[in-house]
Amino acid sequence: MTTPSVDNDSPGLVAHHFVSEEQQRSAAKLGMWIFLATEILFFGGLFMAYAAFRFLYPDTFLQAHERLDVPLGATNTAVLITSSLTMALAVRAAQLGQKRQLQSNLAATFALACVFLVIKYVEYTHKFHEGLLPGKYYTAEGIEGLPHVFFGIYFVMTGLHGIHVLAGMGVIAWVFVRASQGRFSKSNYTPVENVGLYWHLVDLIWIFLFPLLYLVK
Amino acid sequence: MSARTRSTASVHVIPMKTYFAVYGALLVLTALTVGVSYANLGAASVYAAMAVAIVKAGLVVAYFMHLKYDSRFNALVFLVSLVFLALFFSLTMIDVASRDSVSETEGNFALIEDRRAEGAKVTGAASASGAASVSPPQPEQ
Repeated sequence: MTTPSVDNDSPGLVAHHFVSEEQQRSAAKLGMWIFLATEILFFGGLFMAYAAFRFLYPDTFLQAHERLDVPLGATNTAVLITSSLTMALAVRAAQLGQKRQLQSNLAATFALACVFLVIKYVEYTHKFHEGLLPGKYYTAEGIEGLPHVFFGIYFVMTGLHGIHVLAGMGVIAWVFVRASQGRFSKSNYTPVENVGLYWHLVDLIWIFLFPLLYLVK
Repeated sequence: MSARTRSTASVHVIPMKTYFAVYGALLVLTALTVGVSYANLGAASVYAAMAVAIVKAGLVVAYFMHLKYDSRFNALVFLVSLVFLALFFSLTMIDVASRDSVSETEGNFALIEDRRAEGAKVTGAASASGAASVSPPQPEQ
C-alpha cells in the first residue's frame, strides 16, 4: 500500500480512509450524483402522477391550467436559469481561487432564489384568494371534471420544489459563510461544487415543471 | 485506485464565454418553449415542449453541472436514473392507458372480442355502402 499523499497547497484535509485528496474529492462528487439520482426518482413519482391524471382527464387539465399565470411562470424560469448561471460562475471562481467572485456569485444565486420564492408567493396567494386550492379545500367554480386533482398535483409539485429551493438557499448560505471565512482554495472547494450540483438539479426540475403545468395545450 | 500526488487537481475550468453561451441558449429555448405552446400543435404540443425541455436539461447537465468534463462514472449514475425513470413511466402508462381494454366482469378477452366484432360490422357496412362515413368507436380521450 502506498503512503498517503499530502496536498501541499492545502495540507492535511484527507480523511483517513482516503488515499489522496483526489480520491476524496471524486468520492464526494459521486456521492452527490447518487443523491441527485434519488432526487430524480423522487420527483419522478410526482411527474408520473401528473402524466396519469393528464392522460385520464385532459379537458380538466386544459381548463384548469388557464388559471395559472404564464408570464410569472416564464419569469420564474428565467430567474432560476440565471441563478444556475451565477451558481456555475461561483464554482468557477472557487476553481480559480477567486474568493471575492465566489462570494458575490453565491450571494447573487441566493438573491435570485429569493426572487423565485417571492414570485411563487404571489402566485400562491392569488390562488388561495380565488379558492383554487388542492384536493378537498377546492372551492372555485367554472372548471369541468376534477379540478381539485389538478390543483392538488400543482401545489404538491411546486410546493415540494419550493421546499427544495429553500433547502438550497440554506446550503448556499452555509457555503457562503465558509467561503467568507477563507475555508476554500484552488484545491479545496468540493462543498461549493456539490452545492452547485444540487442547485442545478433544482433548476432542472423546474425546467420540466414549467411547460407541464403552465403550458398545457 | 492508486495514490496520486498532485499539488493542484487537473480540473477542467470552463471558460466564461461557454457559460454565457449556454445561458443565452437556455433563455432562447425558454422563449421557444412558450412559443411552441402557442403554435397550435394539438396533441403533439406536449411532446414538442418536452423535447425542448430535454435539450435545455442536456445543456444544464453537460455544462453547468460539468458532466461533459467529469468522470464517466458520474454520467453513468445519472443515465441509469433516467433509465429507471423511463421504465417507471412506460410500464405505468401502459397500465393506465389500457384500463379501458379490460372488461370488469369478463376479463381482457371479452372486451377485445366485442371490439373486433364492432370493427368487422363497421368495415363491412362501409364497404357495402362504398364510403366510410362511420369511424369505429374511440375510447374516451
